[in-house]
Amino acid sequence: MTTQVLRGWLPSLTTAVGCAVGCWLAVSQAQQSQAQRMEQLTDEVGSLRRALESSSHATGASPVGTATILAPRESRLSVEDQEAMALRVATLLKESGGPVAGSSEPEAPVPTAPEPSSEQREAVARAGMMVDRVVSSGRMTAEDVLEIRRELVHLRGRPEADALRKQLVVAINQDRLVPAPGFDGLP
Amino acid sequence: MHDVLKHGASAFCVATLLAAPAAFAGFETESANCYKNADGSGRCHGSLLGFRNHVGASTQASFTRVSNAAPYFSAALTSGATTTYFNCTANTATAAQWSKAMNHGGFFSIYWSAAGECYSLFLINGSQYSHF
Repeated sequence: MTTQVLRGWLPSLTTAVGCAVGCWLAVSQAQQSQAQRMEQLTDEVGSLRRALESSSHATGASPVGTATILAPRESRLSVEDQEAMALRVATLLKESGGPVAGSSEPEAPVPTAPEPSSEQREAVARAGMMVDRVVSSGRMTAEDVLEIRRELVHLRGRPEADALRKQLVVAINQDRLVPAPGFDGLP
Repeated sequence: MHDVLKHGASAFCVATLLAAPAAFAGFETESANCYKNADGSGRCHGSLLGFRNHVGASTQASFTRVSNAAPYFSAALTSGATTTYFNCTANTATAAQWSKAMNHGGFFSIYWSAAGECYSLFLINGSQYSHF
């Protein structure tokens, strides 16, 4: 009787023990690979941070402003991590020819604009003189912005308007042109 | 009678405390940073709320779209008595994201070249950045 019971239960018991051992092995394997992956990610974040610090030292960038962490917690992504992520993504996209397009990369062919009308040519000339005057004076008032904007309205979507606006942008970024207090955008 | 009133008041206080909703405070972060290199290229990053709440009186940042020209980003950062200005106009890739940037309450990071062209726009939305 006992032998018969054992014969009936033994295969089931063996199968159950086998399944348990198999599950344990699978779970421990997954935990091990997860731990390895976490170590890799930690190393990568550390190297990104070091690379960012060294690059900012190398370029001589002059940071302005401050980061304020209202409620820092070590387990969260810090601002430095986000900076490193942003820099890394920008670099990878640039390398892969993705949507980040640097000035040195070939851009999609832009359809050439039709020849400007005589009225537009005059507007370009007037706006150009205003932009030159503003850049040479080193100051741009709200009135200057409105005056140039009035001329650029005639150049809707034309490359000449973008080029004139770029002159102001570059001059501001190079600290050759200072907008008046309460700067409310480009012309 | 006096004891009854005291017990009643105590019970009322306990009931009020139990009925009051528990207050939770999640993780919050604000930042406003910009830098520029000698050639005028540079980067701004942070959140619009961070720029708004920055200690500098003239600090601001904005994403602008106009009908007759390329969209552009502009920022000003005041540090001490000095205000520094930063601008770029969007290239084709970043212009495609401008609508998102204009409605964005989270973290952003924008890079521009020496030619004043915004060439990378990085957006993260998250509960820690804005009061939704």
